[in-house]
Amino acid sequence: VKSSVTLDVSHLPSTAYGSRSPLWWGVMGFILIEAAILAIGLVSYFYLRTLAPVWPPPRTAVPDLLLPTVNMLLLLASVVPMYWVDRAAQRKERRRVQIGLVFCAVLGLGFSVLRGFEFRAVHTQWDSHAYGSVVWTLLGLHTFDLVAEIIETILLMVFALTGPMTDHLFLDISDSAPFWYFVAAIWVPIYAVLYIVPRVF
Amino acid sequence: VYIIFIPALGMVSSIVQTFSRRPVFGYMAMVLSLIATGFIGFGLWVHHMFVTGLPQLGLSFFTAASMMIAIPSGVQIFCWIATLWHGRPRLHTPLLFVLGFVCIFVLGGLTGVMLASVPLDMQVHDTYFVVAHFHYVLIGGALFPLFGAIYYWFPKITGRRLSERAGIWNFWLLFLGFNLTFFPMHQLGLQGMPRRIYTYLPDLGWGALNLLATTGGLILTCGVLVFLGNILWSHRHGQRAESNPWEADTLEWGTSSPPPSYNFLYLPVVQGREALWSRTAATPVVTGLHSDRREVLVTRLLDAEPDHRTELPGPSIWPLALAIAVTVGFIGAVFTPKAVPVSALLSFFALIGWSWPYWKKTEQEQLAAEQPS
Repeated sequence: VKSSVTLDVSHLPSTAYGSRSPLWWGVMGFILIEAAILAIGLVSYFYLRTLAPVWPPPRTAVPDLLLPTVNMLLLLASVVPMYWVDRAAQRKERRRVQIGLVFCAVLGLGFSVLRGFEFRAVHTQWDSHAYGSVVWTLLGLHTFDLVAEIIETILLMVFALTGPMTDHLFLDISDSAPFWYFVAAIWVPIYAVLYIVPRVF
Repeated sequence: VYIIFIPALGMVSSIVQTFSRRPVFGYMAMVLSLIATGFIGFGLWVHHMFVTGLPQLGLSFFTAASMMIAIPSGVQIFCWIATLWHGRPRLHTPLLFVLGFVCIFVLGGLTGVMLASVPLDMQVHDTYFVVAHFHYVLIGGALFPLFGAIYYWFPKITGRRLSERAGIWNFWLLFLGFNLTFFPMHQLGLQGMPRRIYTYLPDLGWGALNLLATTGGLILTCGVLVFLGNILWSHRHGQRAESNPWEADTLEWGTSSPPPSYNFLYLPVVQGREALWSRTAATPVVTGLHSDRREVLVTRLLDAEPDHRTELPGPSIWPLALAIAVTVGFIGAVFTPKAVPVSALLSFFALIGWSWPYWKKTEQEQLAAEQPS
């Protein structure tokens, strides 16, 4: 293409946030995939339940309620500091981002430990019966997302504390926030199915 | 099955537009039809198993969907015909193949609507009628556009044109050979000849039509041989192609044939759906992107105005390391469950290596170089 007229783009910024960033769309695609997998897991749960005469199966205790509920509330509350980090990253406020990431990472490690105890609170093993398998699958899939998100946050925290704060790092931090919101929000229906459904219905 | 056509539909639209020398008619209707084809395509597959004893509701649903797919297909065919009708068509080989596609695909579509109804399908199930139908749809719908597309884009890929004279022989041998092979099969199927047999008794009366089909098959083979010969010969000795030999409108024709590895020296600005036809002397090119790093321009989603520049990562060994870690997991898990945590650990390190911010150093250096303070 030969042309004497030019469109100079050298003045444009080198980063942009939210839906303007290609990275953000990547995160959205990832959320879509994970949501679809978890939705398939939930459908499998109800499919198995329609086939079972008793749910949970005989000699299987219903899951505990206290620990999982506390952990869910903690997970939902963690959205607030993450949102704070996201906003601070968009305004390129280095100090706030660092403090917020440390706080989120500690919170994340906290509910990972509690999540470990949740595998005991469901009172079933993954190889006991179909009920046990589907409960462990749902819990395991979500735990996988949770651990991935926490590892990412810890990595970003390490980068933010050790290296220089570049525009790209602010962008990475801001774009990791939607996945955190997703992991927290998707847990509400899964929590309801795992812990409430066997008690109520 | 319809998914096979979707690339072909794009090829046909490109070829029809270029050779009628006008924008494609009913662009919006075409796009919606394409989406509808993809959507309805999900609800068709049961028409392969109408005789397996399915509930009435299922049969009705899949019959309806199988007939409905004819609507978006018809819309597209009529839009192409309208484009050609209002344009000034040039009968080069790619367009010839597209016209062949229209003839064959419409015939395949007609038998498709017939087969979509359960009573007829039960009569001719597993006969040569079905064989005839799906060859008309698949060869007509996917192979003819593909041949046309190869003739169309070969100059762009290799810098040399395929021989037009051989192309015309290629087309007519394929078209006649195809129809001679598969048209008699409709009749054979209605006479009761089943699929997937290698022989039959002489007094069944299928001999003459099968001989015709075999002759057609030989002609078809000649057509394919002419095509292969044309490719081999033209690749070496074909006429040199300039950047836009067909006077087409899409962007790939805006660079030399074959394109350089960087495609465009300066990013062209596109001001309409027909990128090259709408270009004037006042159409600018993009400047101001760094050429010493992998910087690309990101535009806004809907109006495609320049928004910001972003730097893509350079070459890295970590994606390969991750692929190996995942492979270890999947193959190892066949033999021992311990492979899963091992692979997870390896993947963990590969992912950390991948996301480690090496670019920080280069960005710092650049900042230091740009602002010596």
